Amino acid sequence: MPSPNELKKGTVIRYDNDLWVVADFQRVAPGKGSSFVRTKLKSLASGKVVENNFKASENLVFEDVSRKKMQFIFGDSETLTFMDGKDYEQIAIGRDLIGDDARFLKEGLEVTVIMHGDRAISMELPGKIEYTITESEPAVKGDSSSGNVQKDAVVDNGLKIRVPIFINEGDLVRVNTETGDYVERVTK
Amino acid sequence: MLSKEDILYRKKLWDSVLADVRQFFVSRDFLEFQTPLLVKSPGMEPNLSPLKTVVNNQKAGFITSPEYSMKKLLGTGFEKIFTITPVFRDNEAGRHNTPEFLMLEWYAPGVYEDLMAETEELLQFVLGDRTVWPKIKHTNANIDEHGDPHVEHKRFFVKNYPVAEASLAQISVDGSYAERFEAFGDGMELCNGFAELTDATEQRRRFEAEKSARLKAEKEVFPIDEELLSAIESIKKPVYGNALGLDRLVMLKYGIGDINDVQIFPSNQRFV
Repeated sequence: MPSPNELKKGTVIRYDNDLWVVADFQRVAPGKGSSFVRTKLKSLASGKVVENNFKASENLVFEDVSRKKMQFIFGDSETLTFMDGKDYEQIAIGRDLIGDDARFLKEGLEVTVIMHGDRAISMELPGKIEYTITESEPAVKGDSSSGNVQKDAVVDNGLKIRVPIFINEGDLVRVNTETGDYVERVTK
Repeated sequence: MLSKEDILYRKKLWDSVLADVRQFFVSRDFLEFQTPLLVKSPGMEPNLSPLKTVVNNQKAGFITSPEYSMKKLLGTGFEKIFTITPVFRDNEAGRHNTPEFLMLEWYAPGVYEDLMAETEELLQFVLGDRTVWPKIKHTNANIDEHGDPHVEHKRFFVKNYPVAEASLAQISVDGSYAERFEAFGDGMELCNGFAELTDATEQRRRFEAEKSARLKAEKEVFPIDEELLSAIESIKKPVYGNALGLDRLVMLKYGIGDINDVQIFPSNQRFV
């Protein structure tokens, strides 16, 4: 039987008499205890979200799901719509199933949509996404000597991030989608 | 590899924290030491996995903390000492854990309350933020089965650990708790501080207990460090010590959530 270490976003597990999709997870190997996986689970039946920690040694029952690469095309207040680049089929997923990850979406971004049967239940982002900086104050002379090494910036989909002061408008940067933090500048 | 500019950016984050830490301790008359990374007896804590190796045909390991060497220095009569050193722990991964990270440890004569005050002053100095860190008793911190507290604060101390989790801390005079505390910030454990146990007999008893726990868990058992036990015997004054993860302090200061986004050679790129 699969171990909690194999959980990913979008994994569907049978647990506590319900089917749950993993909305978020973090593997934790603390220095002071046995390792475990911290999860946020969303009930497929009721939409209820619970937090649960699984010990790495537990056994879990995984449901079969399929994954397909799709592009994000647009969102409204309730749903987010993705398109299959091959057959142009469109699928809408409720914002409630995607949660905070919606802030990373931009038109044309390729993501992995998770299907349970013919129902789209979740979406996986790439670990890192590249964005163009659209707004940022120019660095002020003396910034680094006064200890300021970061500044605020906005990227092409509206996401706000903290960036190093050497970053300029128009730069391409890589962002960590687990934390929403700047990783590095992409050299063109 | 990161570009030169991004490396320089990360270096600035580190330089600022390291310079502040050194300034803090040097201004308080602490001496800085480098301690060995390769030893015959690395940490005995039942839950740690030291990296094993062989040195001159003898079993050895990489330190999980510089504690034993630092206490040997205390045994020779040094009183206020600190070190900044790489430490190694196998099987640690995640946004807050890597197999190799930089640790600050310091020791000084004094009692439990002195250590908590000094730790708070250090954090305030490095973070440039005078906010007081609430000190919450272990029994009130909603500790889950993994040792993580659940409280309303973002930055706080958890103090007065259960006697069973004393580790290398001494027990309070009334016997009700261990004089151990941890600081937490943005969901990360930052440090683990003790009013140090200076009773060598009790220390040997705890080492033996940890040895059996390791044997039971089928983990590598390293020999008890006899030099450490005799060093502990020569410490005559109350002494405190604290171990603090510097990568996490850099993350906390600059609001960065993934340890791999502050390291210049990120662990998740070296060991996938």
